[in-house]
Amino acid sequence: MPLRRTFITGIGVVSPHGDDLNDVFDRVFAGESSVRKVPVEANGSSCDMLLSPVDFEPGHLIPRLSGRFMARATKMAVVAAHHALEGSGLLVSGAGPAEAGVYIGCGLGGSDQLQDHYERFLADPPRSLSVAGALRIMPSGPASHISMQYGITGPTVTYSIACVSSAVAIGEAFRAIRHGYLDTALAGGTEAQLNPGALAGWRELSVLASEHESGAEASSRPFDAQRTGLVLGEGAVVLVLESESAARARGAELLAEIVGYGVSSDAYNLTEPSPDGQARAMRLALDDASVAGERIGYVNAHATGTLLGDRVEAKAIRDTFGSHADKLAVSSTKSVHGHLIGAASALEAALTVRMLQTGRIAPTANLTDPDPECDMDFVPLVGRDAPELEYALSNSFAFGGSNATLVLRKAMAS
Amino acid sequence: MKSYDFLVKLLVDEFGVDAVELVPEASPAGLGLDSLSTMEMVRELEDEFGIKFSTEQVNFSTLGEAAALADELIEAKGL
Repeated sequence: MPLRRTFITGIGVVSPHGDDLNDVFDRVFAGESSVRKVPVEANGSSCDMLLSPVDFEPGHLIPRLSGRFMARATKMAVVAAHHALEGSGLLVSGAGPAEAGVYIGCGLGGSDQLQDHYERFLADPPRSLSVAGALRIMPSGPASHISMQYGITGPTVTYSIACVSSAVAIGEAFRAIRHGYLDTALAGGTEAQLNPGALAGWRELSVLASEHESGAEASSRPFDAQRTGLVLGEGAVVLVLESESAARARGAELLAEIVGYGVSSDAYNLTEPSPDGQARAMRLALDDASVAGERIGYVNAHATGTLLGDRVEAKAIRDTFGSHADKLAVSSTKSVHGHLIGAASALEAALTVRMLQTGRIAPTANLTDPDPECDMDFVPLVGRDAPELEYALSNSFAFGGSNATLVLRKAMAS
Repeated sequence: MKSYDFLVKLLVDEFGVDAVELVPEASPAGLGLDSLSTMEMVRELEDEFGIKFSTEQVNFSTLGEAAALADELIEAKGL
């Protein structure tokens, strides 16, 4: 069977900037930060942490009964899936396409429920445990509930690979469609770990940003010499992917095309990234897309705002593109929405789709003092028009040395 | 029947069951509760009144039956 073209025909977003993708993109393009100081209470005391939280209220989209068995990450994923299906025109009488697949990335699963479970279990005396605690905690909950709520009977799979979870989910769904195993897939990611227990773990890693002198909003600073670390966010993003034949048969609006996917492992270190592994993912993605590097106009960088991560990625991009790296526009939208971990790649892919659609490249916000070790066009501070933009990369790299790159193309007439 | 009143409020407020369907003769399955949801309902009942259903007692057929069992356990607890 010849390889089939795969298009994105719907995008549902639950993000720190809201749940309307067009509005979310406009705010990201304008450099509007969703990072703020949030009081986190634990062990009888409270401290402010820099976070990028979602003001989330699922409302009628999640029935109260099934909602009892969902963690926050699951609820967000179900709502994102609803918006994606609705936007694609595939939501009919509350049901999605029965033969589709569900491919969801999630880093930590129901960590809010895990914390609640342990608090109850370890209390003195122990408190009553929930009957369904284990079911709310399981990382596969989001994909399973999407399947159940929308009657989707194809493969329901979960990828838990830290920060590349949703890139791999999207990439594997793309492959399944491209090779003829599916016509339609819901693919994306979700993450909701802004709870005291998970946050305490992150704090001990010493990778979180401290507040910048200009304020909380200016604290996520990829590629900037004043960077101090990453800002954790939360949210869910689900894309509807369809084969060209399926999308055209129903006259679906084509938002963008996925043309390549590369995935690699550093096999090197748990937290220190390797430029070789990252460059390999980018090269594999370009080879997969059969697109020369010179045709790429934009790279949505993984860049989280850690010194080592930013520098290694900058080197990896240079190693991949050679002299063309000087002509690339590269930006990190994490500068305004923070790091959504299991949902990060999906949100960044969604924003990249909007860049291809609108011909406007979102900036790296807060980049006032560029790190001289990261010498590239990072679209500092101000977004720009790029009407000729046709191909873009979306990079994702994870603790554990997992790397994934997607190649996206503007939806063309034929 | 204070446990029955508790169940009615629980099922309406927390389980999303339509109040008009809630009669003592209603079965959990008839209200749209699967086995897991029914176990959750029982756990809420147990936590509220500090009682414990035995494995056999969980096999009640109707809400009224569940409430009557709970009331018996509450009464026994008070002795």
